Amino acid sequence: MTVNNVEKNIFICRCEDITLEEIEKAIEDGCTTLDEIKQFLRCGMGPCQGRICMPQIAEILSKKTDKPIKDIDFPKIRFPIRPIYLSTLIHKSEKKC
Amino acid sequence: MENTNAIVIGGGIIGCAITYYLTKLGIDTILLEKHDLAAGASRANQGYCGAALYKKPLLNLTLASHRLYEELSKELLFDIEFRNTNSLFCISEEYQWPTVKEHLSKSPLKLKILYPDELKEIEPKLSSKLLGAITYSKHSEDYSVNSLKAILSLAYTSKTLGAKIRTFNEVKKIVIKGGKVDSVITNNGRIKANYVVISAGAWSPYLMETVGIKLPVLPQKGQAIVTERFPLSYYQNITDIDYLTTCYDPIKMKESDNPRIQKGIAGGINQTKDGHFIIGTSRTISGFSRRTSLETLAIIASRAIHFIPSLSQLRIIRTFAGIRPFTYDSLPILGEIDEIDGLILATGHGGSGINLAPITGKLISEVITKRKPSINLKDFSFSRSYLKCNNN
Repeated sequence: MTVNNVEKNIFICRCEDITLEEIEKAIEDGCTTLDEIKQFLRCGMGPCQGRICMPQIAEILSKKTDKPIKDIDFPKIRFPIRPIYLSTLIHKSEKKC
Repeated sequence: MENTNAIVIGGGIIGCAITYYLTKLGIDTILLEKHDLAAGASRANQGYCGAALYKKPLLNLTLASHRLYEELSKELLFDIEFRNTNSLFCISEEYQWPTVKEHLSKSPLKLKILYPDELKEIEPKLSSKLLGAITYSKHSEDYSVNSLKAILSLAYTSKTLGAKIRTFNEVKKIVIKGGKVDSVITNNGRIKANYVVISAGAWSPYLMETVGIKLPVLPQKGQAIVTERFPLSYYQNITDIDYLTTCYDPIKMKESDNPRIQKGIAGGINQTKDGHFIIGTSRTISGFSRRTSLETLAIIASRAIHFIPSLSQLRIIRTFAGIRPFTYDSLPILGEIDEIDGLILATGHGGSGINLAPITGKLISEVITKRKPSINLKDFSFSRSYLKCNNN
């Protein structure tokens, strides 16, 4: 029991502090895709944009729903790849124009 | 063949709200969504539910929607983070004054102008270059909601009340028999229904095509920037007053020689409950591609810094784009149509889908159950928008 409890409290999404237990509960409550889990719990919405936690959440979703991992769609990756300052965006673009 | 009373096509906030209000009235409802929930414009927005810059008849829908959101906050299974927020609508250029004065003289809301001295005092973050701002005299009628949670909460609560929510079910065709809705054909078979509601946002015209009717709704792309977290401000919505042009005056927008206005960029800088700033948005009619463009994002960013200079030192963590259902007169299309019995439209909400979802859901549920609509639907009828499109 103790070991299980410790495991459940593991942080999967470190940007938004979301635990394994919360992710499993969201799937039990009806989330069926990574995007729905993301929208519901905010995991993957922090500075890393899911680049660290999404593969692990995909694995949890795959296990809980008996769906092969290759059939799980990942949320869309968007610019920027790493956080940049608003001023950098303007500067870069002015150079380009 | 499976049989139901109502089918709702589209699992965005509009479809989910309609499903919720129908199910609440005891109507057997199936919601069909081709992707997962909130896959379109419903996931790409700022969650801003404003009223100050709205004009009649849209304003009436908006205010009614806010009252329903207050009820939903208590009724739904999960919290939707609906909260009252304070807004400033910033005037930064001399040319904006006539539009501002006209809006103030027409709006039934209690609004006032703040001049630079007062503005500096109440929100020191704002640029000293601003000429003024509009705000509410007393109680703010602006709100904000976590749109993603609202959609999931509407869907899950509907499900517990008996609705069937089917994602990854694409409607291929709506079948009409004798001038009346008969059934829909999906990738998983055919379902018979008395009523079919089209609430597929910008994708609604494709569904109307299957019954041979042209729907004058165009895909309008809106791009936005999400920043890292920052401590919560008192004014969580700072909006560019040019919104009055880019949101309500597509002709003036098209004829403008300013590239910013042409791209429909009149930023709203909204801070979410979690502290992120969502800086939006552009409004361009350019197909269904959801790519973000560096050029447009840079204009959005520089406009935001024009209002709040310190934003330049905040980091961007994401950018996004959503495709909204645009109509020529910026009004949604709601209700039955003369051509086909049992076919109901709920689309064309533009950038106001989140704001108007609860009242849309309620009105459509009233239409289907033959109740008197709580707001007259004449201004939002399909015949209205059809005529305007032909005249253009």
